[in-house]
Amino acid sequence: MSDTKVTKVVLQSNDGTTIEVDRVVAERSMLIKNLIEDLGDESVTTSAIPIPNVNDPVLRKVVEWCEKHRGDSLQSAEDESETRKKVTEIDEWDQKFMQVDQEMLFEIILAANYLDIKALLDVGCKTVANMIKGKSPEEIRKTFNITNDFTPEEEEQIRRENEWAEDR
Amino acid sequence: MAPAAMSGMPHPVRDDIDATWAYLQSGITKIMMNLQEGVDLQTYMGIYTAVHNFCTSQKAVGFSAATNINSGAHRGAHLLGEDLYKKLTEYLTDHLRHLVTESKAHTDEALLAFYIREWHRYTVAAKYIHHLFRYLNRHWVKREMDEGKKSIYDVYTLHLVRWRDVLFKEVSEKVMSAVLKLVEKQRNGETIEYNQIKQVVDSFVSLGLDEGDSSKTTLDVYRFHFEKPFLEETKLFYQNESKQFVAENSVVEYMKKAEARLEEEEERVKIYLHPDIGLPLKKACNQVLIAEHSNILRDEFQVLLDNDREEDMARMYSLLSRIPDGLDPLRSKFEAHVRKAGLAAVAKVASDADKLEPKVYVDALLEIHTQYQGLVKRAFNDEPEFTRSLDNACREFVNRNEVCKSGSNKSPELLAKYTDILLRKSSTGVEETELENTLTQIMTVFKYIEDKDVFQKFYSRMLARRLVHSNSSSDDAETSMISKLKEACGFEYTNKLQRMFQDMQISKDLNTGFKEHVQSLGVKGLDSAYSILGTGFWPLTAPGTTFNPPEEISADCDRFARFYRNKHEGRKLTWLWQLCKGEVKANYIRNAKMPYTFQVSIYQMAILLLFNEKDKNTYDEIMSTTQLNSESLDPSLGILVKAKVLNVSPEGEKPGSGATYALNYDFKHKKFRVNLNVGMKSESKQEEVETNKTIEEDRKLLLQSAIVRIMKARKRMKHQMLVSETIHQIRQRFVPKVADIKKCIEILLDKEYLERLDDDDLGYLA
Amino acid sequence: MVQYITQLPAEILHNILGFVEPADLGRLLQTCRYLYGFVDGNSALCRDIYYRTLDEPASNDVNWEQELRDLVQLQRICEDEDGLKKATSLPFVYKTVTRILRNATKSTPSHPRVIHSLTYPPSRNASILSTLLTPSASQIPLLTSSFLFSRARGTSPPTLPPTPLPHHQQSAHLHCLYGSPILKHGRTRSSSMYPFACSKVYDLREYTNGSMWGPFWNDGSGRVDWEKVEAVMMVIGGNIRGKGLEGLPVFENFWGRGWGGSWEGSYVPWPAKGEKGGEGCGEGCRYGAEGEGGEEVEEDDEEVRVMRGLKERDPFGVSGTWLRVVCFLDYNDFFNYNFPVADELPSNVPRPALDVGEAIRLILMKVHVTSIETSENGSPIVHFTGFSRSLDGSWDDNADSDLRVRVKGTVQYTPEGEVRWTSYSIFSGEERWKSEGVQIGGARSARGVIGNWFDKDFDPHGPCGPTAFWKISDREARADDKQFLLHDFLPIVDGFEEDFDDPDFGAWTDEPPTLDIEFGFGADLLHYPYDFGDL
Repeated sequence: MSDTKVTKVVLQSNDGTTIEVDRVVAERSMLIKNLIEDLGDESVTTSAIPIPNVNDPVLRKVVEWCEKHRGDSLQSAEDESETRKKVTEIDEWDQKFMQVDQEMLFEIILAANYLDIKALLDVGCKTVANMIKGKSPEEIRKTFNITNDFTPEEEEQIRRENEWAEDR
Repeated sequence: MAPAAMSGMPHPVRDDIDATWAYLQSGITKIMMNLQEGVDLQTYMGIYTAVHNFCTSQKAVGFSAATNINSGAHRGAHLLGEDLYKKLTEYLTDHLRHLVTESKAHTDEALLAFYIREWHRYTVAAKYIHHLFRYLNRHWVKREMDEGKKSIYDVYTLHLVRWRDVLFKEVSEKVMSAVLKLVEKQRNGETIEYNQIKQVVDSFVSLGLDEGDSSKTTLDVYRFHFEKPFLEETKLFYQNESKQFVAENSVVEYMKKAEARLEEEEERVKIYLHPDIGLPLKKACNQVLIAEHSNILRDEFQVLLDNDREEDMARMYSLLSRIPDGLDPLRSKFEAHVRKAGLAAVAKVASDADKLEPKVYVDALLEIHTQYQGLVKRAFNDEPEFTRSLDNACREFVNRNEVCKSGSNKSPELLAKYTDILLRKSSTGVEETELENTLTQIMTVFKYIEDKDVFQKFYSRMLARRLVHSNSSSDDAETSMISKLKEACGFEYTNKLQRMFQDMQISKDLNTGFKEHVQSLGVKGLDSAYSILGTGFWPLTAPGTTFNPPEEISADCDRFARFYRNKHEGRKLTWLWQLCKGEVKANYIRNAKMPYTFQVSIYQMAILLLFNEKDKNTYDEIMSTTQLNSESLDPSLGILVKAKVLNVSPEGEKPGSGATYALNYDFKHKKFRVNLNVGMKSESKQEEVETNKTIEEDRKLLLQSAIVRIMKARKRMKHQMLVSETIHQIRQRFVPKVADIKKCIEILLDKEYLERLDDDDLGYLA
Repeated sequence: MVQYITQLPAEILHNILGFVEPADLGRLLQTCRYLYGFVDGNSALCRDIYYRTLDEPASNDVNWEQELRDLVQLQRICEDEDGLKKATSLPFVYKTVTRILRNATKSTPSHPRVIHSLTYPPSRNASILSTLLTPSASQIPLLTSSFLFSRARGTSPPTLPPTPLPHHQQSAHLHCLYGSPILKHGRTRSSSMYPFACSKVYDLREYTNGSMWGPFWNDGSGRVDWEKVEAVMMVIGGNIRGKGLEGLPVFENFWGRGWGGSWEGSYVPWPAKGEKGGEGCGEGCRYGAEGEGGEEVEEDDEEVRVMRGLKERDPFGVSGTWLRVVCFLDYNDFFNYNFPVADELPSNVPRPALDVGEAIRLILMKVHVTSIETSENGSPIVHFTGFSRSLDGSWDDNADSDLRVRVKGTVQYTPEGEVRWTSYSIFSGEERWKSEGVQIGGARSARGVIGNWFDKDFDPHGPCGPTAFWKISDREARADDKQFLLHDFLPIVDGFEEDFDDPDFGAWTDEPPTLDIEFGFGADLLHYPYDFGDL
């Protein structure tokens, strides 16, 4: 074993395909970062890292995002309270990146959540949030394919309770 | 093992807690018990994934249409994870209970080894498990903590909390007693494996969790379970040791021992204890090693002082300075000792106070000061409090000693006289730097003088004499001395001295101007020099006799007077004939290879010049021509006769009517310049008496002006307050007597500067 | 596979909804049962959205849901074009705006001043308010509904109500918190409010025993009469604009910017604790060179220690340097206005609009706390003393003690919890002028104090007038210190900072700069019977 630091790791999706990525790219995921820290460099030089919850297309998408953002500074836990104050803007590249069908969008969000990639998770969530903003209840239902399961009485009651939010 | 796919372990059904936990437990146990064998990627990812899957297993389908929207049961926002957290907590508790049982098989160092091994194993595993349960931490734990739940911790902290509450609670005392046994061994000189203690300390410190904010730690656990017993044990150990040591060894030996022990304990903190114990440990050691033996240490101090054991005194100082109020008794002993030494030194030189050489006296004072100042510096760290004790002692023996018995003014007087000797021109010319050093030493004594006004009086008289007779050794030295006095006592104190000095400078210029003036007139004047001395600055009085200056001189004097009046209209000049001097050449002496030059006072000059007219003059003739009264004439004649410049007939006749004086043509002297202007012993003695008298007068005035100044500011004051305020104001000049102040108040009441009001109050009358 | 948003784990849905706007929540929960159940009563979610939208409040005891609803409702009201409706919403707006300001960012040591003259921290609450409530035509009814405005518009009867009306007071209070005076009631040139404000401020009939001659109700209760404060603010604001001072940051930050620092605790100290007031001349050197002997230095330390202790206990942040503005009328104008020949004006009819021109004085005031006592109801009364010095004229005569005037006073809470300042200026030992004022926004607000000055013996013939002061630094005066140093001026000359690079201004580093501003006194003011430079 040489003492030079491992620079590449192999990720294995749950359909068995593997992707080789730069270590720094993989380490955008706190899960993988901790794993390498705990198990040591050797463990990832000989075997692929199994990612049991993510399939190949989603994993590739996630890796693409991580490649793009490889240089971003990792935020520590202390900044978290600061960042939650941050505004909901999404940069242009990310906006384009997130132009996928809703199912894929949810999958990316779930993968980011699982792999613990906070920044990607937030970009995904903001994208969904932007799909909600300023829309009427009916528009929201339409966007997300939600069935109105209220009784008419309930619906009326809830509407009255939430008049404050009506756009007048 | 095949690295292939996900075949390692089957994944549990995601929302089944029992299945999930069974899966997790086998992984966690592996990490907890057998981490050294390593964890493979599959297991690691498997555990993480199982935790994730369990927490995200909630399905929207669980929210059926039957739910009443008004029920208030908002299960939608509920996060999963509590079950996992509980299971993990139970697991850790079991694991730790098992360890407690195991620990019972060990004691002492074996127990330490066991504790440290298990602690290490446990915390390393905790870090792993913390990572593996990160999903739980990120969401469920975070939410619980955000909502202010007190007993929920992140997974790593949970490990520490369980350790503290299950294992630590049971074994900490035994572990601690093992630690203390080990430390005792080391204190008794054995070599120990102190790394073990260091690790125990680290473990105890880690367990200090801040219940308010889990991201912070406190030292509470460590302080209670480690520091407290450690300090108690330390005290006990040193109490026993020092008691025995003191009984068997000298005090000096004990001090060395204590010093070594204190140093050793400081080292101990650095090497394997937590820095937090530094201060309390030091305090505890100071208490048992020093404070509890401070009496015997202090008793030894006098012995050390008497024998000049500087190094041991320094040791004692450094030990006693560690305890509160430890040094006070040393200081008072030191002060008494210095005072006694000072008094003894003075007594030695004071066998005949009247003939006492100023230098001998001042040197005696200085020697004691120098000796003990050195001691303060070297043994007592130059500490201000010791310096104060030294000052107190010096002030005592400088102002109240054998020599001062004859008069409290003796010290300032002798000091002023010594200064005069130093500053006067002398045959034994002193090096300038040496002179400066001596002046600095003079100031050391001056600082202690209480009656600074007495010094001022004598000093100004002697300065006047030096200036008028121009026998000051150097202007630089004079200036330096004045500026030293100014620094010590302020401008007012040296104002007059400085003015005297200035007058001499101005006079020099004036004389140059006068010479030019005389030249321009084209007359042949005397080779004369005049000094203009400002009335009020100089401690001089007009001559006590009438005087008719001889023609030769009066012409020049009148010319100068006119010259001066032209320059400064309206100023009045008074001739201080008693201070004038000159030189006359004696051309009449037979058998002289060259004429003698006599240095004479102006009175003597007037007498001698009479002999230009005739060889013989009667006493009465001399008196009527010179107009001198007998007090001035008689001593002047006396010296001329004694020096055999004049012969008196009848021979041996005292100056007075009936005596006749003739010029001695056969005068002989080994030098060609003869100084006949020599003062009589009695003269200076008288001056001393006079000086002392004026001091009393001046003090009264000083007191009165201080009282008036205070009353002017306060308008109304209690009698008692006024007295103490006056003392306060005047103290830097001399130490006033209360009776004198009261007398002065009476005088001011008579003069109607003050008035009596009710209630013992005094009022100021404008 | 997750196909529906409702299938996402709760933590992810929470994360997503944390990014929506407050108003979206009310619509989301109308979509389906699941989202209703998720959003309704989810205070953790509301808190996250609140934190993203507004400043973190000092206390966590907040009804997050209600706050978001009120914010949305405030937005709705302010975006509504129907002005009349806004006037009826005034009580709600008043309640909500004052609460939003109360919860605005307090200054903390971790956010020091960026610019010397900007004495309050950035705040989302303030910036939201300044986008919602501006003096644009559609906002006018909310900020300009005091009696003064309705009188000027001719929309109210010409007689004053016997006691201030709630909606007048609320609007005036909002206007004061807004802080940048609105000096027009319409769009025409003739709609100037300044003469009307003057007519209130210089009307001696407003100065009564019941109001302690200050901006308080005339019933002895000590409650703040916001309409009086409003009038003073408008008069001083008019003068600041009239003399071209509003361009200077030290004025513009407060008199030209909506909601600038008008909240409790907004003042950011400078120099910060332990920081020296600039190179070379901090407190240290002020105390260093004086004492002759060691004892005296110790006394100094004791004094400094006592002062520091008082300063720490003082809830109002009194100690420091304050910039003060005083305006006044020529006494002849003042007298003729208040005592016209044949005065038959009923007491409830305001005097006519007044526009004869005033003089303005800028004064630097250095004060420190001398004692803190507790009043009968347990609230603190802070006593202070110090000295002041007029900024007009040359600084060469800084040594001339006649130009420096001792000041003293007290700060305490009014019954409703506002902060009341009382101060005196003292000439050769005698009190001469007195002032009463109210700190806009509350204790330690950067916006400062606005109020009235008058004869300390309440001379029924006046004079009287408006005054305002706000804190610029924490450089304070000691009992025996009457020095103004270059660093006392830094916040004032901020606007000139770029000039420091100009070699021509090199001399400024050695001596205090002169404020080179033309104050434009009329010749008739030169023989004014009393010198206000000293007030």
